Amino acid sequence: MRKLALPDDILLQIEKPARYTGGEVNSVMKDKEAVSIRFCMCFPDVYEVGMSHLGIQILYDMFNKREDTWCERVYSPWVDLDHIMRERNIPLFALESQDPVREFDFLGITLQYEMCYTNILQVLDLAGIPLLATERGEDDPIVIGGGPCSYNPEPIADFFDFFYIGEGETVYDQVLDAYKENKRNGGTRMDYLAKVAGIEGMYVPAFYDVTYHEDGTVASFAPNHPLAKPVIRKQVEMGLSDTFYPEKPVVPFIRAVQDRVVLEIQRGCIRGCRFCQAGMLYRPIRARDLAFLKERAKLMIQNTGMDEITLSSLSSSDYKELPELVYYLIEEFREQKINISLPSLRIDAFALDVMSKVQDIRKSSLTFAPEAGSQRMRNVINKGLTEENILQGASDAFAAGWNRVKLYFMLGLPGETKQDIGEIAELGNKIAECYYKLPKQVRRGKPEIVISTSFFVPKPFTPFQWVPMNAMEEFLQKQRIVSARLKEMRNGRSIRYNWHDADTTLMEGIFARGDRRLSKSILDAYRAGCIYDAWSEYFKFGLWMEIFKQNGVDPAFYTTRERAQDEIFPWDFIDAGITKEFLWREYQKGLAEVVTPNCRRACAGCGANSFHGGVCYEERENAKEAENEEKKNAPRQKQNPEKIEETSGKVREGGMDA
Amino acid sequence: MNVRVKFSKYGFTKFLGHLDVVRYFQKAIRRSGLSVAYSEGFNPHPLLYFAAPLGLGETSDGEYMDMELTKDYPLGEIIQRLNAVMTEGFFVQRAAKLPDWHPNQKKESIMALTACADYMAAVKDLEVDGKPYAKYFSGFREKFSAFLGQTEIIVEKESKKSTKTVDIRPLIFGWGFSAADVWNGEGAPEDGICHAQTYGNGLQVFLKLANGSTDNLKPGLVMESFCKAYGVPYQESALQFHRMETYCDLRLRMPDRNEGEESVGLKDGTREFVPLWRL
Repeated sequence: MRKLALPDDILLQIEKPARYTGGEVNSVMKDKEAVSIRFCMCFPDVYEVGMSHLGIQILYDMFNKREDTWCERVYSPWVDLDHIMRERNIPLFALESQDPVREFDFLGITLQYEMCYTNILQVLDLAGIPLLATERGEDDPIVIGGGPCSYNPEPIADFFDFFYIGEGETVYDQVLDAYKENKRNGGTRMDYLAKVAGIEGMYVPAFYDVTYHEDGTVASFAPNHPLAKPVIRKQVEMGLSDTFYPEKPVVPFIRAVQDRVVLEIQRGCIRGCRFCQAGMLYRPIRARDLAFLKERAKLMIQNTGMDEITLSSLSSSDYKELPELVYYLIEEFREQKINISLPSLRIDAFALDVMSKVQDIRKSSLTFAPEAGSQRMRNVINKGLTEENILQGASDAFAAGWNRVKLYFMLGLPGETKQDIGEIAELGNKIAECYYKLPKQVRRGKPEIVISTSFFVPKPFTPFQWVPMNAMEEFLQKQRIVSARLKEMRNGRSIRYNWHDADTTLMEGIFARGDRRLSKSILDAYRAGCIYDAWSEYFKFGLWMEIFKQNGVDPAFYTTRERAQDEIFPWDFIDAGITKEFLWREYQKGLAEVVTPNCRRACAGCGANSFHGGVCYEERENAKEAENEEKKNAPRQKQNPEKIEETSGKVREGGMDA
Repeated sequence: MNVRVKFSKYGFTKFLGHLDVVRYFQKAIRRSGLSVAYSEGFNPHPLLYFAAPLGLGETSDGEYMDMELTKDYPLGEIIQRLNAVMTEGFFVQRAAKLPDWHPNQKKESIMALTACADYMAAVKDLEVDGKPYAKYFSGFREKFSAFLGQTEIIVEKESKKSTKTVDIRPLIFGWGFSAADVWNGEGAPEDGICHAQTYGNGLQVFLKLANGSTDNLKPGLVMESFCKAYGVPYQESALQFHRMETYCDLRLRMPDRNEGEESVGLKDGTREFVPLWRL
């Protein structure tokens, strides 16, 4: 039997000891003497959060398919164990072997949100690995970063040996093979990093120098090593139906945040919402084959015994064979009572039919994400959801038996006016009116409408990467406008209002578009006791502000400052497929309230077709179809055709998706 | 068909709480491919019933679960299919067919049947306040014999609102320093401790304790009051409790089973313990 790293007395005094004991169904055990590479995969947050992440499950499966590699997992110890480990000098260990992480060849850390940055340092520190890459020696693991935040890795550049930019399925074999070869040849850590720098998509921060203008903006960003590439090209897996996808995901004993099987149906998005980083980063859209998905769904349920499967994608309704897939799953899993969940689904007749089959209508709620209250604002952000769509969807849902609706909005969008903000409350009110239009005998009490607002954080690689973020006072002021407007509404009592925390937003804003000079502040904040910043009960906003001040960091420089068109951004060295020209063009169109049609309607020339596949190539086949539709709609086109596109909810409902 | 399954829980799975064990078996049943009956409603779950929750940190060779299957299987196949999907730390020992419930008949709940359990309490090779915990237990056998030789053992039991004093001695049905001293199970008493962890210091005691929904005594409470009586610092995490077997008391069982029998046992306090799988 496996020997645990922690003694019984510790395991029995901490919360949820099963976070640290491993041994879960489908976790992989190997003989450590029989492998040549030991890889520890880390999600720098508590176990229940980390175990919910699909990316790690994919990479875990992929690495362990290699006979010469054993991939294990580690998560952030919760604060209770964190104290004990420091007090008793217990090194951080991996779940499977329970061996110290410091003995591994690699520590791979996934970066899913900015607020996990101090937890990276917690993991390194508890493992006994020097926090700064420059201070690591030959015996320390190679520390790799990956995931969405690695598209601007600069604020945490000092802590990583290299970053893997893009999707993990493509070149990890090269990364590991190079490691073995280097070891065989007696090469040093530096020799290895030089080899890595030669692999497509790998970014070794130490091989680059940054200089700054007097005003603080980047003056130059250039390699200082002969093998380092001036531009790092994002890695993309183009064959999503012929690649790694776990048949046997690890099943946690304790309830994870996502306690279900995840079936990723496609990557990327055709919508082009201008605030959405994921929608830009993961272009082009690539769908997995229906047959592949059916097979994996069955295998994963069989091998995990989970009672729920969720379809994952940025916009499920854009998966062309969605109805076939969903009706197949309902039929296939009926007997085993497997629940099917469909997030990111546009509310239409199909969605309502499916949901009435898989959910308890009385208990579940429907979610809309208009993101902005006014049509004008939705045109600015290119959110192709019209008021008509929303009200129709809500009316249909109410008629079908639902009476709970959730609505998500953002505050602080570019060019937002008091009028735009007020319309958030008005939209909520109109939805309540839809409910009261139902005949009295059909209604069940009051409708429950929940409006949630978050604050907009401009992100790299979006058209809004130039945009000044609102200051804290502006955010709070806008929140008060929504509250006040809701009180004036006739159905105000049917509407509940939740809002997001402004302190956290400011932090996200600083890190999202931050540069290398922030590493020092993150290190200092960690040393001063900041960890678990993503957890409001542990987030020490005051301390962070104090530390920024000590380090001469002005939060406004990173957040509320308007960037010039030609400013060199800290993340410009990454080629994510989409071009800076496209992003600027989209920004300008946004300011002019001009809508850009989705990728299936017309090519916006974003640059992602350089990956040679996905929707960019599918479009040509459909060109005729689109042309015909255009002709059909032609008599109604009186304005700028692009302006018409956004009202094309009809087109989408009819031709494309249903 | 209704089946009662007896299983062991040992090793690192002792750190799983009862609800997680329930969730584990719900998933394991689905992985096994056994056709299980589900509850009604929008969140159906497999119909599984557990005897008595095991405390966090305790191991066991005497855990029980009833399940309703919608098809008939040979008992051997049920055991084999379940063991094929168990992780380390769980082992299915046996399966027994239960009588079918007649329509309208009240199901005999395994939880209500449970009356008693055998435990082994062992001192771990751990240090407490800088000294091996076993060192605190010098003269253990004499002291423990004297402790349980008392006619009453009064302890304070804390409830949510108040603390009250209870005599726990009547809830201790048997004890001794070898497994055979308490064993009413089938096979060798050692079967009941085959997955128990062993410790070099060899300090252990066996207890037969009330383990029902009304009368219930945790082995930790017995050890705690012993420690208190002899001035030994009590540290529950430095003791290992292992459940050996779980019993039903035939004399307390549903009256229709005992029809025609005299229930003298109840009057004079004698009991007739039968391992749950024998019913």
